[in-house]
Amino acid sequence: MTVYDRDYATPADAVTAVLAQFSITAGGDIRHDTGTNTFHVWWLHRALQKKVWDLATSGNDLLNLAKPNPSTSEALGTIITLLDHTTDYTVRYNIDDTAAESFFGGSIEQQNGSSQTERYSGLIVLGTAVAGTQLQVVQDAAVYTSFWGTGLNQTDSNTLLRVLIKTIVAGAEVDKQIVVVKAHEYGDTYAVWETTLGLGEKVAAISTADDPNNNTALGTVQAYTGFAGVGATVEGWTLIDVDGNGGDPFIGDLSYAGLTGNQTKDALYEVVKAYLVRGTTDTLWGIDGDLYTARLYQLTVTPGSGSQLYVQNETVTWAGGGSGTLLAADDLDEDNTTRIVIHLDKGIAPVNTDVVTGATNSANNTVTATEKLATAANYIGVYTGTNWIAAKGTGFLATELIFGDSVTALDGETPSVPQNVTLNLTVNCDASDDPYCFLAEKDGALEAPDYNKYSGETTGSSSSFVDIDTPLDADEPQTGYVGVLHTGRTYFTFYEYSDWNNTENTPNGRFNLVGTTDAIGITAGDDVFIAFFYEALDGTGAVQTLANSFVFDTGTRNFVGWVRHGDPTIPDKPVPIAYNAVGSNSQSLTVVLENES
Amino acid sequence: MAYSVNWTTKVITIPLTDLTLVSGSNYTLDVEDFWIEARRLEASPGDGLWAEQIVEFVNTQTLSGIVYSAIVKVINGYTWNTNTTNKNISLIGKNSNLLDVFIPGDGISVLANNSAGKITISEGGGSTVWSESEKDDIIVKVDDTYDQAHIAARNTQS
Repeated sequence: MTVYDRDYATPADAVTAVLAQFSITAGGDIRHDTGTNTFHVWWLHRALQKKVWDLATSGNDLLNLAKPNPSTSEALGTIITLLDHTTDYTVRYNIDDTAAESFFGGSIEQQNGSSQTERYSGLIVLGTAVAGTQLQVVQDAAVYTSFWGTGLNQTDSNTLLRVLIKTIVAGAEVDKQIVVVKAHEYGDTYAVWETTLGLGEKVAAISTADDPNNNTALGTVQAYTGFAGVGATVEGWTLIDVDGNGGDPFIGDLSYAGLTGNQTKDALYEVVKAYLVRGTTDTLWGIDGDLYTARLYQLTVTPGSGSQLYVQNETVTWAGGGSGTLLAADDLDEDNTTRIVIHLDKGIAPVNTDVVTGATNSANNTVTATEKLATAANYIGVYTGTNWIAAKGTGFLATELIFGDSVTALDGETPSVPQNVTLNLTVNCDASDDPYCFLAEKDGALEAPDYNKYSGETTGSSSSFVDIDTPLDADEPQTGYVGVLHTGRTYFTFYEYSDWNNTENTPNGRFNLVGTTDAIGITAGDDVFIAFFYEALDGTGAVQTLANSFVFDTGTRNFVGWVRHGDPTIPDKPVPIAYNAVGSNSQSLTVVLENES
Repeated sequence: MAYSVNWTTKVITIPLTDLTLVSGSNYTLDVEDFWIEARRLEASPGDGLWAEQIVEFVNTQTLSGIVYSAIVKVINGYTWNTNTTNKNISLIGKNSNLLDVFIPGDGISVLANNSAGKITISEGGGSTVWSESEKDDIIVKVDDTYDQAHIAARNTQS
């Protein structure tokens, strides 16, 4: 197979090769006959001109000087027009789809039998891709049938593909001549590029590389328990509280929780990639993975009237032949809808004054503004092996985010994931044991808990909160137990709290309790401290655990406490525990309870 | 009735009902009972889970075939008293320092009954059962030790 580019050194050879590979009828039908060579469109023009210069026909090329001009060339041979002489000569020069597969480098335009324009447009894909990559071309929400395998007409080292794509059929543009080139090979990074074809040859740029975080076999990932549910569990407009300061809108919240046995970020990343891999039949947000083109738009719309409902993942349309898949709406009732996120399937995105209409119930709203979201070809974004650097709008279950993950909400907010530090405790004991654990921040001087870290403010009895007379440190655990040495009592009383803040008792701290305090008030100055643990171990059996977290602020802290099991029948030896120099990293501790008698 | 603890002053109060009547005003307190109750209190979220440990327990030790008694040691500044008066309380069972950490009360007398030579003899068969001659040897040795200590104490007083 020889690739005859525009600057092929020996024109006569190129022309000869074209004529050898194609037949030309007297009526002008140019059809592939034999051979696998490929040609710049210029050589089709030159070959035709050669034939109508000859005095005699030859072989299956039935043209000669008696025939009308077969073609014109413009733009340095990149725009070829096959001429229609049906009226005067009953000759209409034309190629068919098969013949078009042998050309590249420009466009070939012609008339069909109904005098309607047809066009094959040139597409050149530049860039670099992992060897073996089979590029896809999506046109009009369908995959263009590939005839190029792992690449064709790579006329230089930066060219991945040069082909002709049929963009005008029977006088009508196919999806406004827009195509999306995709490289979605599992194991590699994904890439997409949208371009509008036309006359001549237009460029798409693709770059892929080995994905170091995508090494699990595709079949293995597709066989994960819960594989199909990841993209269907929580769809649509979802408020996710990433930073503890209230929810921000995202498109669904991806989670690995349903991947039983594979509940990791790695697995989630590979599952989403598997949804979108070339040749897949899986869907993401209702979109066939092969047709996902990463063209997401957020539309600001005017609330309508009529109370019709949009349906999640339904098709929405607008004037000009555009259509998309509804990924999210801040309210599915058209009366209240102000934001809609779509995946562009066909056409160009709606603009101001366009009316988008849902296919199911004809819910509709008028667009006032359009934002093209900065998306990722794999939808999920960059995965470092530890952290997400997610595309705008891509949401994750908040509890599965860790410090260092980067997400961007649909409202433009970039909430930071708190740097949670978790203290984990594992206790090995007799299966029948029910041990308890106490842990608190260590006193600055004593080898003991800091029992008077805070001082209470006067609070009435049976209160749903405990106030203190200073602000709470930023790195106190979000939940836990607050111990109060009530005046008049000889012991600390512990109350479980569900959250704390320095705003409700500004500027000082307040613990909001799960229940209420006892029927005894808090006197100003009563000792108050936080018990990180003050509870029975979780679970039963020979291995029991406990964990609690706080948001790292600065520096390091020490924690001390103990694990005790005071069963009157078989008491265990109390075990002191300590977490030393706890900074930004979580710590784990395992202790063994031994019978004391 | 269970023990009560003032966790801030670290005073454990043992009610009379938790003492065992022997006769008249003579009662016993089994040190093992004290240890078990202390452990329960230490591990109870409603009591002293947050507080420092009350007792340290050293289990029986076997040395050269002799099983030495366990030790219950009150630590971390805890003390104890009772809610009664004019009683003789004899500590029985394990060795302990309960006498040292007792808060004297009206007419309360505590008898420690610790013994450095206290041993636990396994009953029944097996190689740990001593012969009559071994028992005699031990009794003689203990008597000698007591006599020497008694003589030394008397000499010191004179």
